[in-house]
Amino acid sequence: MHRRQFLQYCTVQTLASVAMSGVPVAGIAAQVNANTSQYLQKEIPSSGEKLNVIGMGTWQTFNVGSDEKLRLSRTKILRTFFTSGGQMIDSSPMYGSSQSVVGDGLQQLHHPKSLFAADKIWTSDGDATAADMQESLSHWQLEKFHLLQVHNLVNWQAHLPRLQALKEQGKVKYIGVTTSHGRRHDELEKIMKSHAIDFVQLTYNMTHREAESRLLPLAQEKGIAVIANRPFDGGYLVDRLKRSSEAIPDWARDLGCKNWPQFLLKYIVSHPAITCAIPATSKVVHMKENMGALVGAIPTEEQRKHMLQYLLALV
Amino acid sequence: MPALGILNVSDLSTYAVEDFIPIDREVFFRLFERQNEFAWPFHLLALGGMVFVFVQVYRQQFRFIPALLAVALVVVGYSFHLRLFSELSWTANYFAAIYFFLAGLLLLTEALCWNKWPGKVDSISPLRCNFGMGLSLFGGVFYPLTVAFVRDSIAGSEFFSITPDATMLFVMGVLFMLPVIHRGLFVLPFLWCVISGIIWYGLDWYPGLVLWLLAGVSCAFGLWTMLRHRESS
Ligand SMILES: NC(=O)c1ccc[n+]([C@@H]2O[C@H](COP(=O)([O-])OP(=O)(O)OC[C@H]3O[C@@H](n4cnc5c(N)ncnc54)[C@H](OP(=O)(O)O)[C@@H]3O)[C@@H](O)[C@H]2O)c1
Repeated sequence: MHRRQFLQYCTVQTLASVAMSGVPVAGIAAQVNANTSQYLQKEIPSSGEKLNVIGMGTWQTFNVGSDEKLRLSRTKILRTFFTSGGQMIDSSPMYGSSQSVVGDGLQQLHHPKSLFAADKIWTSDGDATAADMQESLSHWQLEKFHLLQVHNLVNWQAHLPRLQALKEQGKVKYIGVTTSHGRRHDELEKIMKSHAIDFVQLTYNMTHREAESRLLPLAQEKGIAVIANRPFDGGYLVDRLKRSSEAIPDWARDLGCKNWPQFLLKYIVSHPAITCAIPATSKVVHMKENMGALVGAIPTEEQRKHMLQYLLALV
Repeated sequence: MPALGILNVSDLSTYAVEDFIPIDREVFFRLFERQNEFAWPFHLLALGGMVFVFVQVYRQQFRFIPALLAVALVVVGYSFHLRLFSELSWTANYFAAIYFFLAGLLLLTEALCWNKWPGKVDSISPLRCNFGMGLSLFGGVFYPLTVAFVRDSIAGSEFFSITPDATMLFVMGVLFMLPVIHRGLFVLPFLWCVISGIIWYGLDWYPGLVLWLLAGVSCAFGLWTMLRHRESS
């Protein structure tokens, strides 16, 4: 690690640990608005806006219903996320109460300025695009989303033109489509080729790299930002590595990886086409680990190959 | 409530069970804790209800039993599925429907059999009665104790008339002990055991798979007694 990088890394870690040191939830608005430029960032091609490369997902982990105790614990996770440079939060009407749990947490944190709110349209009713957005906005307690995506390509033919119209009216900043688990890549490719979308979200992790062959190069060519979902393969991959007796190799520490989650995330976000990875967690300690991937070096092409070889020999 | 139609059928093979379960295991168990906190001391009444059922079966007095089971099903359908679980998953609305529908069928049975039950009815075989007794005791007593033991917490356990599995297992067991019960009534408890087993499987909580086992054993036992009955008549 170079000296400058090392100093930058230390500063970020110090700031983060000060901000994370058990400050009560109320009255932390100042701390949660972290200076995001100290973190690893990528540009959203359609606008040039910069985004920190680690965001967070909310599938399962934020679906806690009206349980006060669990809501409070999720607010603590959000606080950790923002204090360590988090911006993008991804949710969906499909995720049960996750949207309103996020909305509640954001309100407790006095709506951190760095938030990049990404949600989805999840209805087969092609006329309900705007209504679906409004309902999601009310759960998030927001006036506007940064990004709205058609979830799992559900009736995208009807939703995309309507999302485009909402974008033109200034009601949403970016639009996109999502898929996962390697499903419907052919259809996704067609959409990327024929529609003016800002984002795609797809599954990309160290053991599921199908997107590398066509979709990621196409995204670069078309100037479409890419969100990598299931970065830990739904938890399976990180769990397996953590349970193994293998520690991360010393050379990976030079890249700023202190643990396996950071190793996995750095690999993902170092792909030139990937804009952001969105790991989900229900634990503050895991959030801290994941957000650690926002600092340090970004692996080069050569280093990525080395990382992959090393990992594939283990799993 | 979103329609199931949003799933692309051609993609179904690429889904795993957990893709349909939008919750974490610990959050699911918290539902049981919250339900128990909410319901206490209704547990004592539910216990009284179970004792009442066993005493009535012993006395061959079957009136009120289907109605009592129906009340338990409605209580769980509303207070667990609709009040708590539906916050986390839209599927809970369908689960509640299973409980309400079975409750309706039991009330219908109560009404239709009202005049038959005090008089002489064809008595059921002791084997079937013992099987039903075993199953209902398992659902009402052993399952709650097992869950409490495995999870090391009585507060997050399952109980008759409070939480879904214990209630359905108890109901299914009692159905075996009742005469003039239409076989179709077993479909819904069987369906619930299958669904609940899928949920536990998706949540990686393998003790919950006992529901599949009991559904399978009950189904096999039901078919066997049916065939035996046919052969002997
Ligand atoms: N079609 C779509 O649009 C689509 C599909 C799939 C996913 N997504 C989005 O992508 C997000 C991420 O995907 P995902 O949630 O399916 O899977 P994931 O992020 O790959 O894995 C989540 C799992 O990893 C565990 N985990 C997280 N950080 C960890 C750490 N540091 N150490 C150990 N375990 C850790 C979590 O458990 P703990 O809670 O114990 O930390 C959780 O069970 C979703 O939440 C969702 O927002 C979108």
